[in-house]
Amino acid sequence: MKRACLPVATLLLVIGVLAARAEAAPSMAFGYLVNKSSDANYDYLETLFPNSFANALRNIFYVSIIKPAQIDKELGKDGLSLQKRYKPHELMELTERISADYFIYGEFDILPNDRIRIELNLYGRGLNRIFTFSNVGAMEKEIFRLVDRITLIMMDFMGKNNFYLSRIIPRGSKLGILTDLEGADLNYLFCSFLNAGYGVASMQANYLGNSLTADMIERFKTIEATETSYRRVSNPEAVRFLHGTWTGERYYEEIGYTREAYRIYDTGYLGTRSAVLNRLVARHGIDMLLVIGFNASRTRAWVRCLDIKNNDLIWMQSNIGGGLPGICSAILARMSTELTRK
Amino acid sequence: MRTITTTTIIFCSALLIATSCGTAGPVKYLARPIPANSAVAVIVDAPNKVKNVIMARFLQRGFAVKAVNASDFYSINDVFDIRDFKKVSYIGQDENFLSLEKTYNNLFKMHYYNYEANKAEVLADLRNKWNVQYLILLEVTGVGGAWGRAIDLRTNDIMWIENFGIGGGAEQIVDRMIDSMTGKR
Repeated sequence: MKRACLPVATLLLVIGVLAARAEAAPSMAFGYLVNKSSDANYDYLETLFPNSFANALRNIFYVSIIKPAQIDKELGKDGLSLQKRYKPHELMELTERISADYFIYGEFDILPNDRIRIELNLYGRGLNRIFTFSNVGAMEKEIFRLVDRITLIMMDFMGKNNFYLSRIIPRGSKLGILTDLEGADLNYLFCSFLNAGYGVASMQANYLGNSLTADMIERFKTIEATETSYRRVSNPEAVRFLHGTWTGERYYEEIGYTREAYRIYDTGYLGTRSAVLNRLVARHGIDMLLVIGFNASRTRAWVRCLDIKNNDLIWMQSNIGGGLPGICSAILARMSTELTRK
Repeated sequence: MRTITTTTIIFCSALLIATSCGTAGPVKYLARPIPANSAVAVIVDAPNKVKNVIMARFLQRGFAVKAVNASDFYSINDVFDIRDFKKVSYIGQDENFLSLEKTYNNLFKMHYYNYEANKAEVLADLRNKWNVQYLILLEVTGVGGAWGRAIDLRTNDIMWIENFGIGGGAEQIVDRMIDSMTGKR
Protein backbone atom coordinates (compact mmCIF):
# COMPACT_ATOMS: atom_id res chain seq x y z
CA MET A 1 0.00 0.00 0.00
CA LYS A 2 2.79 2.31 1.00
CA ARG A 3 4.64 1.59 -2.26
CA ALA A 4 1.53 2.36 -4.26
CA CYS A 5 1.15 5.73 -2.55
CA LEU A 6 4.72 6.85 -3.21
CA PRO A 7 4.42 7.67 -6.97
CA VAL A 8 1.12 9.48 -6.38
CA ALA A 9 2.62 11.54 -3.57
CA THR A 10 5.66 12.38 -5.71
CA LEU A 11 3.42 13.40 -8.61
CA LEU A 12 1.32 15.61 -6.34
CA LEU A 13 4.48 17.18 -4.93
CA VAL A 14 5.82 17.95 -8.41
CA ILE A 15 2.45 19.39 -9.49
CA GLY A 16 2.37 21.47 -6.31
CA VAL A 17 5.87 22.84 -6.88
CA LEU A 18 5.12 23.64 -10.52
CA ALA A 19 1.85 25.32 -9.58
CA ALA A 20 3.58 27.41 -6.92
CA ARG A 21 6.30 28.34 -9.42
CA ALA A 22 3.70 29.38 -12.00
CA GLU A 23 1.93 31.53 -9.40
CA ALA A 24 5.16 33.11 -8.17
CA ALA A 25 6.28 34.48 -11.56
CA PRO A 26 5.89 38.27 -11.37
CA SER A 27 4.64 39.98 -14.52
CA MET A 28 6.62 42.98 -15.72
CA ALA A 29 5.26 45.36 -18.29
CA PHE A 30 7.53 47.76 -20.18
CA GLY A 31 6.40 51.15 -21.42
CA TYR A 32 8.37 53.50 -23.64
CA LEU A 33 11.65 55.20 -22.79
CA VAL A 34 11.01 58.72 -24.02
CA ASN A 35 13.70 60.45 -26.09
CA LYS A 36 14.43 63.67 -24.20
CA SER A 37 17.01 64.85 -26.71
CA SER A 38 16.03 67.11 -29.59
CA ASP A 39 17.51 64.64 -32.10
CA ALA A 40 14.72 62.52 -33.65
CA ASN A 41 17.32 60.11 -35.04
CA TYR A 42 17.34 58.48 -31.62
CA ASP A 43 13.57 57.90 -31.49
CA TYR A 44 14.04 54.25 -32.42
CA LEU A 45 15.60 53.73 -28.99
CA GLU A 46 12.25 54.51 -27.35
CA THR A 47 11.12 50.94 -28.03
CA LEU A 48 14.52 49.30 -28.53
CA PHE A 49 15.55 49.97 -24.92
CA PRO A 50 12.42 48.55 -23.24
CA ASN A 51 12.52 45.50 -25.50
CA SER A 52 16.21 44.97 -24.66
CA PHE A 53 15.54 45.27 -20.92
CA ALA A 54 12.62 42.87 -21.24
CA ASN A 55 14.70 40.27 -23.11
CA ALA A 56 17.64 40.59 -20.73
CA LEU A 57 15.42 40.21 -17.68
CA ARG A 58 13.61 37.23 -19.15
CA ASN A 59 16.96 35.52 -19.71
CA ILE A 60 18.15 35.80 -16.14
CA PHE A 61 15.08 36.26 -13.98
CA TYR A 62 11.99 34.10 -13.59
CA VAL A 63 9.48 36.64 -14.81
CA SER A 64 6.60 37.02 -17.23
CA ILE A 65 7.30 39.85 -19.69
CA ILE A 66 4.85 42.22 -21.39
CA LYS A 67 6.48 44.37 -24.09
CA PRO A 68 5.23 47.80 -25.28
CA ALA A 69 3.59 46.43 -28.42
CA GLN A 70 1.67 43.85 -26.35
CA ILE A 71 0.48 46.50 -23.92
CA ASP A 72 -0.66 48.67 -26.81
CA LYS A 73 -2.58 45.76 -28.26
CA GLU A 74 -4.17 44.92 -24.90
CA LEU A 75 -5.19 48.52 -24.27
CA GLY A 76 -6.53 48.74 -27.83
CA LYS A 77 -9.32 46.37 -26.83
CA ASP A 78 -10.70 49.16 -24.68
CA GLY A 79 -10.04 51.83 -27.30
CA LEU A 80 -6.90 53.02 -25.50
CA SER A 81 -3.24 53.09 -26.43
CA LEU A 82 0.07 53.00 -24.58
CA GLN A 83 1.14 56.55 -23.78
CA LYS A 84 4.73 57.78 -23.73
CA ARG A 85 4.31 59.46 -20.38
CA TYR A 86 2.18 58.62 -17.38
CA LYS A 87 1.59 60.46 -14.16
CA PRO A 88 2.47 58.17 -11.23
CA HIS A 89 -1.10 58.01 -9.96
CA GLU A 90 -2.29 56.73 -13.35
CA LEU A 91 -0.16 53.60 -13.02
CA MET A 92 -2.40 51.73 -10.63
CA GLU A 93 -5.24 51.68 -13.14
CA LEU A 94 -2.89 50.91 -16.05
CA THR A 95 -1.26 47.94 -14.31
CA GLU A 96 -4.68 46.60 -13.35
CA ARG A 97 -5.84 46.80 -16.96
CA ILE A 98 -2.85 44.89 -18.27
CA SER A 99 -2.55 42.60 -15.20
CA ALA A 100 1.07 43.53 -14.49
CA ASP A 101 2.81 43.43 -11.12
CA TYR A 102 5.42 45.95 -12.27
CA PHE A 103 5.44 48.68 -14.88
CA ILE A 104 8.78 50.02 -16.09
CA TYR A 105 9.03 53.25 -18.04
CA GLY A 106 11.35 56.21 -18.26
CA GLU A 107 13.37 58.45 -20.51
CA PHE A 108 16.84 58.90 -21.95
CA ASP A 109 18.93 61.87 -22.93
CA ILE A 110 22.01 62.19 -25.12
CA LEU A 111 24.85 63.85 -23.22
CA PRO A 112 28.01 65.52 -24.60
CA ASN A 113 30.87 63.25 -25.71
CA ASP A 114 28.50 60.56 -27.03
CA ARG A 115 27.21 59.57 -23.63
CA ILE A 116 23.69 58.59 -22.79
CA ARG A 117 21.76 58.91 -19.55
CA ILE A 118 18.87 56.56 -18.89
CA GLU A 119 16.35 57.22 -16.13
CA LEU A 120 14.02 54.39 -15.24
CA ASN A 121 10.91 54.28 -13.08
CA LEU A 122 9.91 50.93 -11.68
CA TYR A 123 6.35 50.96 -10.37
CA GLY A 124 5.24 48.11 -8.09
CA ARG A 125 1.48 47.69 -8.03
CA GLY A 126 1.36 45.75 -4.74
CA LEU A 127 3.00 48.47 -2.64
CA ASN A 128 1.96 51.38 -4.86
CA ARG A 129 5.53 52.68 -4.82
CA ILE A 130 7.95 53.87 -7.49
CA PHE A 131 11.68 53.22 -7.51
CA THR A 132 13.46 55.76 -9.73
CA PHE A 133 17.12 55.51 -10.67
CA SER A 134 19.44 56.53 -13.49
CA ASN A 135 22.62 55.31 -15.13
CA VAL A 136 25.08 56.82 -17.62
CA GLY A 137 27.14 55.04 -20.27
CA ALA A 138 28.94 55.56 -23.57
CA MET A 139 26.54 55.69 -26.52
CA GLU A 140 28.34 53.55 -29.07
CA LYS A 141 30.89 51.51 -27.12
CA GLU A 142 28.97 50.20 -24.16
CA ILE A 143 25.29 50.53 -24.90
CA PHE A 144 24.75 46.82 -24.24
CA ARG A 145 26.82 46.98 -21.08
CA LEU A 146 24.57 49.82 -19.96
CA VAL A 147 21.52 47.65 -20.63
CA ASP A 148 23.10 44.85 -18.60
CA ARG A 149 23.95 47.20 -15.73
CA ILE A 150 20.42 48.55 -15.56
CA THR A 151 18.97 45.05 -15.83
CA LEU A 152 21.07 43.95 -12.83
CA ILE A 153 19.89 46.95 -10.82
CA MET A 154 16.27 46.03 -11.57
CA MET A 155 16.93 42.40 -10.73
CA ASP A 156 18.53 43.31 -7.39
CA PHE A 157 15.67 45.60 -6.51
CA MET A 158 13.01 43.02 -7.32
CA GLY A 159 14.82 40.33 -5.32
CA LYS A 160 13.76 39.49 -1.78
CA ASN A 161 16.24 41.98 -0.34
CA ASN A 162 15.05 44.98 -2.39
CA PHE A 163 18.72 45.80 -2.82
CA TYR A 164 20.15 48.95 -4.39
CA LEU A 165 23.59 50.47 -3.85
CA SER A 166 24.94 53.21 -6.09
CA ARG A 167 28.20 53.79 -4.19
CA ILE A 168 29.84 52.78 -0.95
CA ILE A 169 29.99 55.04 2.10
CA PRO A 170 33.63 55.90 2.82
CA ARG A 171 34.96 55.50 6.33
CA GLY A 172 35.26 58.89 7.99
CA SER A 173 31.82 59.97 6.75
CA LYS A 174 29.60 61.37 9.48
CA LEU A 175 26.33 59.47 9.77
CA GLY A 176 23.07 60.66 11.23
CA ILE A 177 21.50 57.39 12.32
CA LEU A 178 17.76 56.98 12.83
CA THR A 179 16.68 53.67 14.28
CA ASP A 180 14.12 52.09 16.55
CA LEU A 181 16.73 50.69 18.97
CA GLU A 182 17.28 52.17 22.41
CA GLY A 183 19.43 51.78 25.49
CA ALA A 184 22.16 49.12 25.39
CA ASP A 185 21.11 47.98 21.89
CA LEU A 186 21.49 51.51 20.56
CA ASN A 187 24.89 51.73 22.25
CA TYR A 188 25.96 48.54 20.51
CA LEU A 189 24.89 49.91 17.13
CA PHE A 190 26.69 53.22 17.67
CA CYS A 191 29.87 51.48 18.88
CA SER A 192 29.91 49.24 15.81
CA PHE A 193 29.99 52.29 13.51
CA LEU A 194 32.33 54.39 15.67
CA ASN A 195 34.85 51.57 16.11
CA ALA A 196 34.74 50.92 12.36
CA GLY A 197 35.93 54.48 11.64
CA TYR A 198 32.64 56.25 10.88
CA GLY A 199 31.54 59.44 12.58
CA VAL A 200 28.15 59.15 14.28
CA ALA A 201 26.03 62.20 15.14
CA SER A 202 24.58 62.28 18.63
CA MET A 203 20.99 62.54 17.40
CA GLN A 204 18.98 59.84 19.21
CA ALA A 205 22.03 59.32 21.45
CA ASN A 206 21.11 62.41 23.48
CA TYR A 207 17.97 60.87 24.92
CA LEU A 208 17.45 57.99 27.37
CA GLY A 209 14.69 56.27 25.45
CA ASN A 210 13.59 56.27 21.84
CA SER A 211 10.25 57.55 20.66
CA LEU A 212 10.52 55.60 17.39
CA THR A 213 9.03 52.12 17.60
CA ALA A 214 9.40 49.25 15.13
CA ASP A 215 6.00 50.18 13.64
CA MET A 216 6.70 53.89 13.42
CA ILE A 217 10.05 53.59 11.66
CA GLU A 218 8.31 51.79 8.77
CA ARG A 219 7.24 55.25 7.61
CA PHE A 220 10.87 56.01 6.79
CA LYS A 221 11.05 53.18 4.26
CA THR A 222 10.18 55.52 1.41
CA ILE A 223 12.73 58.23 0.64
CA GLU A 224 12.16 60.94 -1.94
CA ALA A 225 15.19 62.56 -3.51
CA THR A 226 16.11 64.49 -6.61
CA GLU A 227 17.97 61.63 -8.33
CA THR A 228 17.38 58.10 -7.07
CA SER A 229 14.30 57.77 -4.91
CA TYR A 230 11.83 55.23 -3.58
CA ARG A 231 8.52 56.95 -3.10
CA ARG A 232 4.93 56.26 -2.37
CA VAL A 233 2.50 57.26 -5.10
CA SER A 234 -0.20 59.74 -4.25
CA ASN A 235 -2.96 61.17 -6.34
CA PRO A 236 -3.20 64.94 -6.08
CA GLU A 237 -6.17 64.96 -8.47
CA ALA A 238 -8.18 62.80 -6.07
CA VAL A 239 -8.01 65.38 -3.32
CA ARG A 240 -11.17 67.48 -3.22
CA PHE A 241 -11.75 70.60 -1.22
CA LEU A 242 -15.51 70.93 -1.57
CA HIS A 243 -17.24 74.27 -1.26
CA GLY A 244 -20.58 75.80 -2.14
CA THR A 245 -23.31 78.12 -0.85
CA TRP A 246 -23.37 76.13 2.39
CA THR A 247 -19.72 76.95 3.26
CA GLY A 248 -18.90 79.75 5.63
CA GLU A 249 -15.83 81.76 6.52
CA ARG A 250 -14.72 79.29 9.22
CA TYR A 251 -14.98 76.41 6.76
CA TYR A 252 -12.78 78.23 4.25
CA GLU A 253 -10.27 78.95 6.98
CA GLU A 254 -10.10 75.26 7.97
CA ILE A 255 -9.90 74.07 4.40
CA GLY A 256 -7.14 76.59 3.78
CA TYR A 257 -5.07 75.00 6.55
CA THR A 258 -5.72 71.51 5.17
CA ARG A 259 -4.75 72.56 1.66
CA GLU A 260 -1.58 74.17 2.99
CA ALA A 261 -0.70 71.03 4.98
CA TYR A 262 -1.22 68.96 1.86
CA ARG A 263 1.05 71.28 -0.14
CA ILE A 264 3.78 71.24 2.50
CA TYR A 265 3.80 67.50 3.13
CA ASP A 266 2.98 66.07 -0.29
CA THR A 267 3.36 68.19 -3.42
CA GLY A 268 6.07 70.40 -1.89
CA TYR A 269 7.57 67.73 0.33
CA LEU A 270 11.10 67.83 -1.10
CA GLY A 271 11.42 71.54 -0.33
CA THR A 272 9.97 71.06 3.15
CA ARG A 273 12.34 68.21 3.95
CA SER A 274 15.31 70.10 2.59
CA ALA A 275 14.64 72.99 5.00
CA VAL A 276 14.23 70.64 7.97
CA LEU A 277 17.32 68.58 7.14
CA ASN A 278 19.31 71.80 6.83
CA ARG A 279 18.51 72.44 10.51
CA LEU A 280 19.76 68.98 11.42
CA VAL A 281 22.91 69.37 9.34
CA ALA A 282 23.60 72.76 10.93
CA ARG A 283 23.59 71.14 14.38
CA HIS A 284 25.16 67.77 13.64
CA GLY A 285 27.17 68.25 10.44
CA ILE A 286 26.08 64.92 8.96
CA ASP A 287 27.04 63.67 5.49
CA MET A 288 24.56 60.79 5.30
CA LEU A 289 21.22 60.06 6.87
CA LEU A 290 21.16 56.34 7.63
CA VAL A 291 17.80 54.85 8.60
CA ILE A 292 18.06 51.37 10.12
CA GLY A 293 14.74 49.77 10.97
CA PHE A 294 14.68 46.65 13.14
CA ASN A 295 11.84 44.27 13.82
CA ALA A 296 10.59 44.05 17.41
CA SER A 297 12.77 41.02 18.23
CA ARG A 298 15.92 42.64 16.71
CA THR A 299 16.53 39.68 14.41
CA ARG A 300 15.92 41.38 11.07
CA ALA A 301 16.63 44.86 9.73
CA TRP A 302 16.31 47.11 6.69
CA VAL A 303 18.39 50.11 5.63
CA ARG A 304 17.92 53.34 3.70
CA CYS A 305 20.74 55.84 3.15
CA LEU A 306 20.29 59.39 1.88
CA ASP A 307 23.34 61.34 0.72
CA ILE A 308 22.53 64.74 2.22
CA LYS A 309 24.85 66.80 0.02
CA ASN A 310 23.62 65.33 -3.28
CA ASN A 311 20.06 64.71 -2.06
CA ASP A 312 20.27 61.19 -3.43
CA LEU A 313 19.12 57.81 -2.15
CA ILE A 314 22.32 55.77 -2.43
CA TRP A 315 21.50 52.54 -0.60
CA MET A 316 18.52 50.47 0.33
CA GLN A 317 18.31 46.89 1.50
CA SER A 318 15.83 44.70 3.36
CA ASN A 319 15.89 41.35 5.12
CA ILE A 320 19.28 41.74 6.79
CA GLY A 321 19.16 38.82 9.19
CA GLY A 322 20.94 37.60 12.32
CA GLY A 323 21.10 38.92 15.86
CA LEU A 324 22.08 42.51 16.54
CA PRO A 325 25.87 41.85 16.26
CA GLY A 326 25.38 39.98 12.98
CA ILE A 327 23.16 42.69 11.53
CA CYS A 328 25.65 45.42 12.49
CA SER A 329 28.52 43.47 10.90
CA ALA A 330 26.51 42.84 7.72
CA ILE A 331 25.56 46.51 7.41
CA LEU A 332 29.15 47.68 7.91
CA ALA A 333 30.52 45.14 5.45
CA ARG A 334 27.97 46.09 2.79
CA MET A 335 28.34 49.85 3.09
CA SER A 336 32.14 49.81 2.99
CA THR A 337 32.77 47.23 0.23
CA GLU A 338 32.49 47.84 -3.51
CA LEU A 339 29.97 45.69 -5.35
CA THR A 340 31.47 42.90 -7.38
CA ARG A 341 29.40 41.51 -10.23
CA LYS A 342 30.16 38.05 -11.60
CA MET B 1 4.00 15.88 36.05
CA ARG B 2 7.77 15.75 35.85
CA THR B 3 7.59 15.61 32.05
CA ILE B 4 5.40 18.71 31.97
CA THR B 5 7.82 20.58 34.24
CA THR B 6 10.81 19.57 32.11
CA THR B 7 8.98 20.56 28.93
CA THR B 8 8.06 23.92 30.46
CA ILE B 9 11.68 24.57 31.48
CA ILE B 10 12.97 23.63 28.01
CA PHE B 11 10.30 25.81 26.36
CA CYS B 12 11.10 28.79 28.58
CA SER B 13 14.83 28.36 27.96
CA ALA B 14 14.26 28.19 24.21
CA LEU B 15 12.04 31.25 24.39
CA LEU B 16 14.68 33.15 26.38
CA ILE B 17 17.38 32.22 23.87
CA ALA B 18 15.14 33.12 20.95
CA THR B 19 14.18 36.50 22.37
CA SER B 20 17.67 37.38 23.53
CA CYS B 21 19.44 36.60 20.26
CA GLY B 22 18.94 40.17 19.08
CA THR B 23 20.24 41.85 22.23
CA ALA B 24 23.56 43.62 22.63
CA GLY B 25 26.57 42.52 24.64
CA PRO B 26 29.14 44.65 26.47
CA VAL B 27 30.78 47.30 24.28
CA LYS B 28 32.95 50.34 24.87
CA TYR B 29 33.91 53.44 22.91
CA LEU B 30 35.94 56.33 24.26
CA ALA B 31 36.87 59.15 21.88
CA ARG B 32 38.94 60.86 24.58
CA PRO B 33 38.80 60.81 28.39
CA ILE B 34 36.43 63.26 30.03
CA PRO B 35 38.33 65.39 32.59
CA ALA B 36 37.06 64.74 36.11
CA ASN B 37 36.51 68.44 36.82
CA SER B 38 34.19 68.99 33.83
CA ALA B 39 30.78 70.61 34.06
CA VAL B 40 28.27 67.87 33.38
CA ALA B 41 24.51 67.35 33.19
CA VAL B 42 23.67 63.84 34.34
CA ILE B 43 20.40 62.50 33.00
CA VAL B 44 19.20 59.30 34.59
CA ASP B 45 15.76 57.73 34.69
CA ALA B 46 15.57 56.43 38.23
CA PRO B 47 13.73 57.06 41.51
CA ASN B 48 14.88 60.24 43.26
CA LYS B 49 16.72 58.32 46.01
CA VAL B 50 18.80 56.49 43.41
CA LYS B 51 19.36 59.77 41.56
CA ASN B 52 20.73 61.31 44.76
CA VAL B 53 23.20 58.43 45.14
CA ILE B 54 24.35 58.83 41.54
CA MET B 55 24.72 62.63 41.68
CA ALA B 56 26.60 62.35 44.97
CA ARG B 57 29.11 59.96 43.39
CA PHE B 58 29.75 62.35 40.50
CA LEU B 59 30.20 65.28 42.92
CA GLN B 60 32.55 63.27 45.13
CA ARG B 61 34.64 62.35 42.08
CA GLY B 62 35.19 66.06 41.29
CA PHE B 63 32.62 66.77 38.56
CA ALA B 64 30.72 70.04 38.54
CA VAL B 65 27.23 68.56 38.34
CA LYS B 66 24.70 71.04 37.02
CA ALA B 67 21.20 70.89 38.46
CA VAL B 68 19.53 69.47 35.40
CA ASN B 69 16.92 66.75 35.80
CA ALA B 70 18.16 66.03 39.32
CA SER B 71 16.65 69.27 40.59
CA ASP B 72 13.09 68.86 39.40
CA PHE B 73 10.26 66.66 40.53
CA TYR B 74 9.64 65.00 37.21
CA SER B 75 11.34 62.06 35.60
CA ILE B 76 12.91 62.56 32.19
CA ASN B 77 10.06 60.72 30.49
CA ASP B 78 7.67 63.46 31.56
CA VAL B 79 9.96 66.26 30.46
CA PHE B 80 10.75 64.95 27.01
CA ASP B 81 7.39 63.38 26.36
CA ILE B 82 6.30 63.59 22.76
CA ARG B 83 2.93 61.97 23.13
CA ASP B 84 1.22 64.93 21.50
CA PHE B 85 3.44 64.52 18.48
CA LYS B 86 2.53 60.84 18.29
CA LYS B 87 -1.14 61.77 18.31
CA VAL B 88 -0.68 64.12 15.40
CA SER B 89 0.96 61.42 13.36
CA TYR B 90 -1.70 58.87 14.18
CA ILE B 91 -4.72 60.94 13.24
CA GLY B 92 -6.26 59.39 10.17
CA GLN B 93 -4.07 56.31 10.25
CA ASP B 94 -7.07 54.23 9.26
CA GLU B 95 -7.92 56.59 6.45
CA ASN B 96 -8.01 54.50 3.33
CA PHE B 97 -6.96 57.33 1.09
CA LEU B 98 -3.67 56.95 -0.74
CA SER B 99 -2.85 60.61 -1.11
CA LEU B 100 -3.39 61.39 2.53
CA GLU B 101 -1.46 58.29 3.59
CA LYS B 102 1.62 59.71 1.93
CA THR B 103 0.93 63.11 3.48
CA TYR B 104 0.62 61.64 6.97
CA ASN B 105 3.79 59.62 6.57
CA ASN B 106 5.68 62.70 5.44
CA LEU B 107 4.15 64.74 8.26
CA PHE B 108 5.40 62.14 10.72
CA LYS B 109 8.89 62.15 9.23
CA MET B 110 9.11 65.94 9.29
CA HIS B 111 7.98 66.00 12.91
CA TYR B 112 10.71 63.53 13.77
CA TYR B 113 13.45 65.43 11.94
CA ASN B 114 12.24 68.63 13.61
CA TYR B 115 12.17 66.88 16.98
CA GLU B 116 15.84 65.90 16.57
CA ALA B 117 16.76 69.44 15.47
CA ASN B 118 14.83 70.92 18.42
CA LYS B 119 16.62 68.62 20.87
CA ALA B 120 19.96 69.76 19.47
CA GLU B 121 18.94 73.39 19.93
CA VAL B 122 17.80 72.81 23.52
CA LEU B 123 21.14 71.13 24.26
CA ALA B 124 22.96 74.09 22.72
CA ASP B 125 21.09 76.31 25.21
CA LEU B 126 22.17 73.97 27.98
CA ARG B 127 25.74 74.53 26.89
CA ASN B 128 25.50 78.28 26.35
CA LYS B 129 23.26 79.34 29.24
CA TRP B 130 24.18 76.77 31.89
CA ASN B 131 27.76 76.22 30.81
CA VAL B 132 27.30 72.45 30.66
CA GLN B 133 30.08 70.83 28.67
CA TYR B 134 29.12 67.16 28.75
CA LEU B 135 25.71 65.54 28.70
CA ILE B 136 25.85 62.18 30.47
CA LEU B 137 23.01 59.69 30.10
CA LEU B 138 22.88 56.67 32.39
CA GLU B 139 20.71 53.64 32.89
CA VAL B 140 21.61 51.82 36.10
CA THR B 141 18.51 49.82 36.86
CA GLY B 142 18.10 47.85 33.62
CA VAL B 143 17.50 44.10 33.87
CA GLY B 144 20.10 43.39 31.18
CA GLY B 145 22.80 45.49 32.87
CA ALA B 146 23.72 49.16 33.06
CA TRP B 147 24.75 51.44 30.20
CA GLY B 148 25.95 54.98 29.71
CA ARG B 149 26.74 57.63 27.08
CA ALA B 150 28.47 61.00 27.14
CA ILE B 151 28.10 63.77 24.54
CA ASP B 152 30.34 66.80 24.16
CA LEU B 153 27.88 69.70 23.85
CA ARG B 154 30.48 71.95 22.20
CA THR B 155 30.65 69.68 19.16
CA ASN B 156 27.58 67.45 19.64
CA ASP B 157 29.95 64.47 19.25
CA ILE B 158 29.60 61.21 21.12
CA MET B 159 32.53 60.97 23.55
CA TRP B 160 31.86 57.81 25.48
CA ILE B 161 29.64 54.75 25.23
CA GLU B 162 29.66 51.65 27.37
CA ASN B 163 27.37 48.70 28.06
CA PHE B 164 28.05 46.94 31.34
CA GLY B 165 27.05 43.30 31.42
CA ILE B 166 27.03 42.99 35.20
CA GLY B 167 24.74 44.30 37.90
CA GLY B 168 25.63 45.52 41.40
CA GLY B 169 24.81 48.42 43.66
CA ALA B 170 24.20 51.86 42.14
CA GLU B 171 27.36 53.30 43.75
CA GLN B 172 29.61 50.55 42.38
CA ILE B 173 28.08 50.80 38.91
CA VAL B 174 28.45 54.59 38.83
CA ASP B 175 32.07 54.33 40.01
CA ARG B 176 32.80 51.88 37.20
CA MET B 177 31.13 54.25 34.73
CA ILE B 178 33.12 57.25 35.95
CA ASP B 179 36.35 55.23 35.77
CA SER B 180 35.46 54.25 32.23
CA MET B 181 34.56 57.71 30.90
CA THR B 182 37.57 59.35 32.55
CA GLY B 183 39.91 56.77 31.02
CA LYS B 184 40.96 55.19 34.31
CA ARG B 185 39.72 51.76 33.30
